[in-house]
Amino acid sequence: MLDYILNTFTSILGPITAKPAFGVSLTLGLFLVAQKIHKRYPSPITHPLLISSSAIILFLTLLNIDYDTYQQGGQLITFLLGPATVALAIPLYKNSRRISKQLGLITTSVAAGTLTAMLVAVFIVKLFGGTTELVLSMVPKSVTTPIAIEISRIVGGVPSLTSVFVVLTGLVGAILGPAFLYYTGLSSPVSTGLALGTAAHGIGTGRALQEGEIHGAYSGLAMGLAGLITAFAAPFAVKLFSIIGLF
Amino acid sequence: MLKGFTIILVFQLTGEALVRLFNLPIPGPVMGLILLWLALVKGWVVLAVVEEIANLLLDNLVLLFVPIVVGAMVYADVLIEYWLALGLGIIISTLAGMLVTGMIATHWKRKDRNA
Repeated sequence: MLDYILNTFTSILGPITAKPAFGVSLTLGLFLVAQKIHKRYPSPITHPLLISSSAIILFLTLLNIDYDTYQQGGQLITFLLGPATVALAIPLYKNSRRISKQLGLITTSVAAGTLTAMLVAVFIVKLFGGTTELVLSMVPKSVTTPIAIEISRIVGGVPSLTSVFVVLTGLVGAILGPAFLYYTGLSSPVSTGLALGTAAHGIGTGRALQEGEIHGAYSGLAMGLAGLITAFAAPFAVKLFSIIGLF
Repeated sequence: MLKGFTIILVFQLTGEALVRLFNLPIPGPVMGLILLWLALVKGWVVLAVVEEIANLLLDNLVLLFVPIVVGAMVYADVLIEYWLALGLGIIISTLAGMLVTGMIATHWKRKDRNA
């Protein structure tokens, strides 16, 4: 009887998990649960992204389902990152007047933060014995995934490894960022928004939007600018690193 | 909502097309963002039409990253072997970047206020 149930279960499991609906419903379902947990126990370490993705990894590992199978549905969710990036034009437009008065402040602070994060990441990974491949994959890790993947390819990194670093960076920024900015006395809406968008791209912007629409608008702008700056600066930075013998 | 979503997708595709046409080093969606912002400023697109779908997407922005984070499972070996270098690199560089941006933004703002 038990054998029969187990056999039926495994014979159904394969075809079911290959359906796009599987990846989508697993992701949505566990994300909703993670949001409930975060609401019940509000803390940086109960960040819904952290909880839901750990739970999904655990689920897939336990049932021996590989990532490509999950991605049949997962990629449908990732697809929406494109339109979501375009949609950042809306909070940007709503705050256009404020922002246009502060263009100098915005570009200077975002450019400085972007270059700092890039240099510090490269130096530390190199210092602690990371391979050249890892160091190069680390270069664009502060910017939003679609930009980071392109840059990674251009400078000779591993794009999929870069996307993992990008998300880890976003998580660190979203989890530690608001408290860090508060304790360093840098937590005005403009400062918080710019810092989160510069150093933690879309995930930081998601966090900034929770703080308020102004935070979100500046964060979205900073994220876009950081992406542009990184796209232009990364190839030169990498050339410079190789000249001074970092690789 | 459906109209707004269609408009956003068309702007994304236009962005992709321009980026390829002029060989720009930025991703299509970012170009789409710039174009949609311009269209809103110029009044070619009405805010109310795109606002609802934009809010839906942005309110759930974090959800859209979940499948990419799950992708970390494929690189478990590398992540475990170099966890210290990668962990320190990511944490310290992210805080350093935020510190620099936040400091400039905060002090610049004070200067503006005093002026």
